[in-house]
Amino acid sequence: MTEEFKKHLESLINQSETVLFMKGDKYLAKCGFSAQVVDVLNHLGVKFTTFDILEDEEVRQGLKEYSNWPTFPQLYHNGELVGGCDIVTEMFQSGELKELLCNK
Amino acid sequence: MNVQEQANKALKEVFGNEALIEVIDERGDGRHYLVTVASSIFKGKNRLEQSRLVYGALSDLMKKDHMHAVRLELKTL
Amino acid sequence: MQQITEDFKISQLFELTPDSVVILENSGLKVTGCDARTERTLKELFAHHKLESQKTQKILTHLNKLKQIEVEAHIPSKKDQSPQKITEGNKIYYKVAGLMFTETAVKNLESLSENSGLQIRLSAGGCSGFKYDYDFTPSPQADEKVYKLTEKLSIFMNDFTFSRSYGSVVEFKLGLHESGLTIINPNKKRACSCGTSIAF
Repeated sequence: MTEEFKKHLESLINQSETVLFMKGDKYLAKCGFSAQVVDVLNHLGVKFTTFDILEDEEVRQGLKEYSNWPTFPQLYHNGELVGGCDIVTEMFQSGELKELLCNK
Repeated sequence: MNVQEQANKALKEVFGNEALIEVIDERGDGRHYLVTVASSIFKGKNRLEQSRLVYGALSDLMKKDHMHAVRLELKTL
Repeated sequence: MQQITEDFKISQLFELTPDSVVILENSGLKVTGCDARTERTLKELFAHHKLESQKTQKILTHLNKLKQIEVEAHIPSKKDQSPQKITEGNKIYYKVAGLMFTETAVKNLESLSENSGLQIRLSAGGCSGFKYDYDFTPSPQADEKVYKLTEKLSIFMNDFTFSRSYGSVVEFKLGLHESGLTIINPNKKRACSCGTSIAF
């Protein structure tokens, strides 16, 4: 991975406090797992940006490598990977997600 | 060996025989799997690390798209 | 919570509770597919299948236990009449008439329109209970309001369609099988695979 591309990924990951890389976007999810994460975030009232990895194959493959995470959706907060649908759902159910994303 | 058997074998190689492993074809379509692993190897590891261990074991199967979607349910023994 | 009775039209039932499809089909009543005739009432459906009242009562009880969708009443306001550009990550949408148009949709619709307006109308029918009809037409019908998408293209839509389509994404697909306009409401559950018909 070139240094330039790495910086590009990092700027995408940091484009806002909470960023969700998913299939589709927050207005129309194109996969059930992505939709589930959007629902959870909407339920918590979190402000977040979505990035449609179906529209950018380079970023799609690049992020898998950069984060050592093979699937989407991928949720990032303050530039760090929180996890995919399974982890986000588990953290939501335990209250940890609200703690992480909502409290300043 | 079908996908489930291959996945089981790969997971056993990483987690050993004392781990409880289940690979379920959730929709019966050969694409959406639920993988449950209960292992003491997870002790002290955060969720990301635990998941990476499992994904790592299944990496080949996932890369070849034999397992299109993988849901994880992981427990520490 | 609405009380579901025999007088409910099948399409109404789908709108209120999409899961009702499963209950009806499990009872041996065919309510999907292009010849489903969802404008019939449940009473007519039951009669067609010659069901006894004991069975129909059971079905109704079951249906009334299902979770109902609260259909928000969306009413057009001034801000819905002109386009709003919305950037989301790597996407750009144009929001007007309560709908989110993708860039390709706007471009393609404009080039196809030739100074007509685009009429978008929701009507009962189709595989899942409701379907969209689209047409390029020079002027709106009596019950339709005019929404400006671009300088060259306006949308004609009645309030019924507006209220049930609010928040939907309008895409223009170019593919081997699916070509053209698709309107997808992410809040609505059942959609037949061809994408032209939806249930609420």
